[in-house]
Amino acid sequence: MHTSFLTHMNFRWLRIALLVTAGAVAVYAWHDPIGGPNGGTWVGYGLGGLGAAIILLLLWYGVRKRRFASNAGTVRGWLSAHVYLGLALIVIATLHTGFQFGWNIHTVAYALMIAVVLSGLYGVYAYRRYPVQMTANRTGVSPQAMLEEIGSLEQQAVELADRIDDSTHQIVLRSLRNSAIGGGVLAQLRGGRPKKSEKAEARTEAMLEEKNRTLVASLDEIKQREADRIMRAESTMRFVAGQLSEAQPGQQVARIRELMDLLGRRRKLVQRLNQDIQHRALLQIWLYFHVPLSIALLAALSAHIVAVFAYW
Amino acid sequence: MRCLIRRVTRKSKAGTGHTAREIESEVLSIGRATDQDVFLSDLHVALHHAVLRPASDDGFALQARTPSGIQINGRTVQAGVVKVGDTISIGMSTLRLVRAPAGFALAIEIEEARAERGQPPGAGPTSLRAAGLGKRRWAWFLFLLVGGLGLGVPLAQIHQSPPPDIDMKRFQVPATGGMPWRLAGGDHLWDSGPMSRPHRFFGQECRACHRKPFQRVTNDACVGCHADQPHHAEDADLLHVSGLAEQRCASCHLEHNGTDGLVTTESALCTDCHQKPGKNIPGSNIRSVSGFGGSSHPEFRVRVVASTPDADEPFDWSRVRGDQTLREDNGLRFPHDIHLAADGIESPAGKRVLDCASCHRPDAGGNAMQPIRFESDCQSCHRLNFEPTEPDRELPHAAPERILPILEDYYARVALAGGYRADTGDAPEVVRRSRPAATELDREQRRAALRWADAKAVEVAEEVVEYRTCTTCHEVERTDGGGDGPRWSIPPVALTAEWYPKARFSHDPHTGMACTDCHAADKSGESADVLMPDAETCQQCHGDAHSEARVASRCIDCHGFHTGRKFTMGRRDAAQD
Repeated sequence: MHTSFLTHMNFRWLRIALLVTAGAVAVYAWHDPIGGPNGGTWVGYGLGGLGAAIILLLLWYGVRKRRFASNAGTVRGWLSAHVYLGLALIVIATLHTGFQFGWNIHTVAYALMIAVVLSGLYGVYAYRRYPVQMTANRTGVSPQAMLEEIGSLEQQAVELADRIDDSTHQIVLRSLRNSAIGGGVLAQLRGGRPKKSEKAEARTEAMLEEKNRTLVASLDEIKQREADRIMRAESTMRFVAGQLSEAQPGQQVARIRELMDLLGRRRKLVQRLNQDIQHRALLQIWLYFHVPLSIALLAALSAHIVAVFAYW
Repeated sequence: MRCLIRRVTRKSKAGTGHTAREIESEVLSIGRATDQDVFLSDLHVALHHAVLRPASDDGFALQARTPSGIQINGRTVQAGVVKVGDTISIGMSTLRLVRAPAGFALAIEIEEARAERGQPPGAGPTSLRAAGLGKRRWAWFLFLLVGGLGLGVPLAQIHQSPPPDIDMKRFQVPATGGMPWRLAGGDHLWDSGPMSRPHRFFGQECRACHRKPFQRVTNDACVGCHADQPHHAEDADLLHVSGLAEQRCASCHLEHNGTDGLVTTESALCTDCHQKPGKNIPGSNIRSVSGFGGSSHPEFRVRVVASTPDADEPFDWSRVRGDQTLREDNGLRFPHDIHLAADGIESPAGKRVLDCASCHRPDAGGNAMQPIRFESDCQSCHRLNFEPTEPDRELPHAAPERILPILEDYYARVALAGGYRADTGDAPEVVRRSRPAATELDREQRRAALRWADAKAVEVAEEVVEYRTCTTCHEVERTDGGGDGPRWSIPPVALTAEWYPKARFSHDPHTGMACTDCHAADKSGESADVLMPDAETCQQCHGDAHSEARVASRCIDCHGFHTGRKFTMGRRDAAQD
């Protein structure tokens, strides 16, 4: 049976984290140091040492997960420990501060740590939520395949539009220009396409629809006119020419229908692709905070420890 | 307008291949139709897509002829002005305006890209990484920023500048210490918490106290200012054996722990030694204290005075447990109960009701009582007068040897002046009869008067000293002999000022109570009664530091640490001899 990193080994790391947290809280509550609780008492040093060790362990996860040959526990086990010990760290580090905060490197380190843990917490949420939605949205089609299909549909659409007439070609070109697949960081996170491109597409479809309706409406009239002309035709040559010109409006109607079909399929595909891009962005964005902030935390933690002992 | 159209046919490592064509036209048309000046085969280009015409000396106006527009330098527009160096994108083709060779007004380099397989030309980045987001860059930036400001700058500051001295002259000039490091935060970023108010004036200069990096603050930094702070005990051996001689100031005085000052009030700082004094000091007679509740505090020892036979040091004080009937010998007769009688006590002005405050006045600080003095506290009732005809004339206090000479002088003057009528007994005529001031007395008269005066002086002195006045409060010793008549002496009096030398007590916070709640003066009939309260009396209200049923009292509420008189914290050598 599949087990996630959260339930790994029957919640082994959750239990360990709870035990460590409960121990820290108990020691903190029991200890009544002179001058009130702070990082400089023996309990303070103990909690600080424990917290620093956990931070280094959590940072090492970044190394371990890249070492495919390593046998030091499974990556899933490491991730499970990473998540639960990271959450325990909030309690341990807060107790280490003794609730003393200020405008200094020590509180910077604490704030960075909290930011890293909170971004990681979002990561846990994202990993529980988005992969399921992504699978449902993709229905087995990879984003690259979607992109290729969109490209092919667009190629077909411009070719077809070119064969209808120049104005249709221009309309389709404008519509494709506003297609808005992916985009910048914010556009990807927002996921939904800009209103402008939705409107442009709706307008294009409305124009094609209108064109089609006009053509269909005039089809009978044209047929009648052509029939009259054929009746008055004096030669076979003229009749064939008449046949050809009669075929023209019918063909146009079919082409417009096909074009509309192509554009509709493309639009749906673009929506699905953008949805997929949004899922991936939401699934990854936290890492762009989690990782740089954790590296900054390493610097702040080093500065914190050096500062404490340099100015003992 | 003469134009050069250069078409890139091949682009590889080996080089770029071109075809070039000249056009002479006022307006340059761009599109997919075959009649266009600049022909682009890409289906994403309209038949008549745009036109380019000269606009100014070096600019050309580009006008789209189709609603899908044109991109100039990446921006989609319907019309715009382009110059040499600009890039025009139409569909998948790129048109660059390059410097025109001599004779040409315009040169365009055209590159028609083949469509990437399946990549629609309008698609933007489809992943965060492709959108330009990176972890590594940010990580390095933040690492260097935090590490630089938090570690690099302070360490450089320590390395570059010498530790400053705390100089009281700093009050006269604005503090500039640590500049320019402080502009970047400097070691001030390491400040672990608010400094105490007394020390904040040099708080900007961390190294005033943290003189050596990676070394705990030593006492040298403290005694730079606090050299005369008394040490804890008088006994050098005790200071050594207990470890107090080597103790760091900062082990009790925690800095960077709030603005409220450095005097720690926790009793644990005292009881860690005093709970089991024998542990650190084997054989010590220091008694065990763990608090102030019940039996956790030893009985008070009151300083009680006794007289000695030694004339030079007639008194001797010893500390005696307070939980027993204590008697002292202070050389005075004083019954408290008579003085505090509810219906009053006889005084020269009739009955007078006294209370404690009639004699016992707090000192200026409100802590102890002013010493009892005869002149201010007794004399208004216990008058030292001697002559009924002159009730306001008084003898000096505490000068028994001067009483007789003063009386002799006084009565000699009275006798020689005459007119003394108070004495109904044996006063001679010359003493009793009034006469004009200038009257000369003859020899006999003078002898009779002075004889009477000498006898009268002795009589009055005996009465005052031995019966009426002095003996009310004092023992009196009389010595006869010699030719000068009797002499009296009064043994010295010692009123104890400091009853509990190891503790501090202030009356000020206790003014809500009656004096007799602690001092049973109203029931004391003798001055030998010691009226000081014992521990139990205090414990009726005061309890342990964590007590919730009594006033929670800490060691420091009654005791101090720096109470020694012999050694100071600054001269630790003294504690090491």
